[in-house]
Amino acid sequence: MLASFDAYLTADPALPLPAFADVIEANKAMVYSIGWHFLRDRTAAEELAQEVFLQLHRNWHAMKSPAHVTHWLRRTASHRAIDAARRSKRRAETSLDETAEPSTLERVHDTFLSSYLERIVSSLPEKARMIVILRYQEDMDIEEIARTLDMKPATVKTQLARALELLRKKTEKRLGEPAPNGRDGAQGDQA
Amino acid sequence: MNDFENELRKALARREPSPDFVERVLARTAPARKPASFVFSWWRFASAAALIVVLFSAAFGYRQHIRREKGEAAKKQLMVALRIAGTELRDVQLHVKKIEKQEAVLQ
Repeated sequence: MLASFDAYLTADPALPLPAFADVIEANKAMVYSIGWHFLRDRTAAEELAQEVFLQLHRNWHAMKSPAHVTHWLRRTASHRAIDAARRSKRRAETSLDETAEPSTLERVHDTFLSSYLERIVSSLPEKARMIVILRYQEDMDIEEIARTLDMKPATVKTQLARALELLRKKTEKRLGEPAPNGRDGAQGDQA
Repeated sequence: MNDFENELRKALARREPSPDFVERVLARTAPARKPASFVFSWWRFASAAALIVVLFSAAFGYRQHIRREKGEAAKKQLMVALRIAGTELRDVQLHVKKIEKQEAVLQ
């Protein structure tokens, strides 16, 4: 997609379908994963990703560069995921400190740390959850996350630090030993 | 970046959607192109309606033409019949007059 982006722009303003297929192919994992990690529902995540790409197709004329497309997709996917969660009430809204521990049965099944972390991230409140996803799935820095979610960088930084602290505590509790590294990564990241 | 964050990065690695994801998105872009096909189908509807009107008009005109021809033919037949009847009548009258003259001579 990146190499031929200019060709796409100078072609049919409605974006020819073969070119659009390339754009989807290049970005589908990113958009789908934002939905999947946020909603933890395969069907809902696929539906969300499809809606995002259809919206991109309708707004293609406004795209200025590949970087703009990527930013637009992340931003749209993030906001749509938050809206979807609010509509469906899939996740009960709780404060960071009230986030529930997985049940005993879930503990039995959570044999791998990654699986456990993925699950526990999905139990975070909406904004904190999306911040963590954008930070660790998309490798975005605080400024980028703030622009994407229309938040102040300081707020993003605080929420990320609190989310990490909570995740670390819960992981320590789960493993019965200190988490892999006790240092606050969010603060370190800002240095 | 510490080990815990690395674990988070691993846990939140990107995943691929279903294999037919691209096809399904492309299939859903079709309704977005509906206005063009709507115009096209509207034109098709208008053309079909115009064709039906033309066909009906032609059928009606042909029917009128056939009726007129039948009328003309009937009129001609009537004229022929009247002419024949007139000729026959004249012959009868001449015959009657001839008989009357013969009777008058005999008297």
